[in-house]
Amino acid sequence: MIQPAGSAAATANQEQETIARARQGDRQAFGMLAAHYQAAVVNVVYRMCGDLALAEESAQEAFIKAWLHLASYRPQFSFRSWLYRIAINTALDVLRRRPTEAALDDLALASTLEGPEAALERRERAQQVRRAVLALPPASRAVLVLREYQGLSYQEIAAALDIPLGTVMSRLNYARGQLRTALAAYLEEV
Amino acid sequence: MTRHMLQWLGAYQDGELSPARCQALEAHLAACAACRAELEALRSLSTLLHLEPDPAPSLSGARFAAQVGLRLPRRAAEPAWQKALRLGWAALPALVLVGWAFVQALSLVAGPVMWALQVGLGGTAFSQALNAPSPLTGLGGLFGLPGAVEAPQAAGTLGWLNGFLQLLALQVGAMLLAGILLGGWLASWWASRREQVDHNHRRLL
Ligand SMILES: [Zn+2]
Repeated sequence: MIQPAGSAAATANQEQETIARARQGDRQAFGMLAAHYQAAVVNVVYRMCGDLALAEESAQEAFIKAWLHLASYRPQFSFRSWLYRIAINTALDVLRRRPTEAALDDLALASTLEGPEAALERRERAQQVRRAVLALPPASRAVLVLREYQGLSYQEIAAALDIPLGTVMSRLNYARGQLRTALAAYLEEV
Repeated sequence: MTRHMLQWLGAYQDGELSPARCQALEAHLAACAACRAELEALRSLSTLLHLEPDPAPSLSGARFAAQVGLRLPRRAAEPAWQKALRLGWAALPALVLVGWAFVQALSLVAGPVMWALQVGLGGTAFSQALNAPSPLTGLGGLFGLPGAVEAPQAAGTLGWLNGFLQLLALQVGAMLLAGILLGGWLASWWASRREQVDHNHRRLL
């Protein structure tokens, strides 16, 4: 999981300053934000659409959108939530343009020391997981991605997706229920 | 035994339950094997979801930022009229106050002046100017009053009445306008405040 900026108050203040400068048109300040949030945004889009190359391309698009709409960001809200909202929307646009035909063979699995058979099995399992996540309705998938892969709090998710807290919880319950059914065979082994 | 608490297990695992509900759930878990098994399954699911680690982007943060920087369009500055509108809206209560003071001052001064002119204190030139058909007599006509032009003798009283009605209409109109503007401004201010308060005080589940 990617650590958010601003876990300490000092860095949070620093970030707000950088955001304020970017809002005034400082491209270098915006570049710092892009560098900092790149991995997180790529990850959000990747988990939403299942294609790393596409996710990297879309992440750039998301940052361009963020730059264009920076005036609409309000400093009293979390920048991270605001950015993820754009990332999710970009991912949904991408999926609409190019229905999920995820390249399921370029799994970003870490190289392991296990034998070829175990590695194959692990691959197979990871593919099934990814397939199950991609089969979720986009609205539930977005909540699951922000919770499981970005570690956002329910409140941050509610802000990012502009939905009530209760909806965050019900969508999350729904997504997990679906995944439990789809992945029942693998859940026994974990 | 109380009912199962399946719908709270996810929030419990995510650390999102209020302390009271958390305590109740833990008490239930201690006594209920079914809910314990369910929680265990949720934990396994989370492990399974992380089987594939987060992808490593092919570009470094700096390279990525540089590429994004190359593609950044020139951000359209806020158009001047939009900025004026925004600032004007923010300053609306002050503007209404100034407008109000202006209208009050106008009616305070205009009443006596008009009366003075009608009774001839201002000299004939002014009186004639006032008695000639002018926007000021229009309102009298609207209310079905005999026009000042047709009855020169009655011009003094009628003209004064005309002026009075004119001022009254101005007052009422200004009051209505101020009311509508201030009402709208307050409503929008309240809405934006509510949104912020809502955001700050979202309840724990
Ligand atoms: Zn139970």
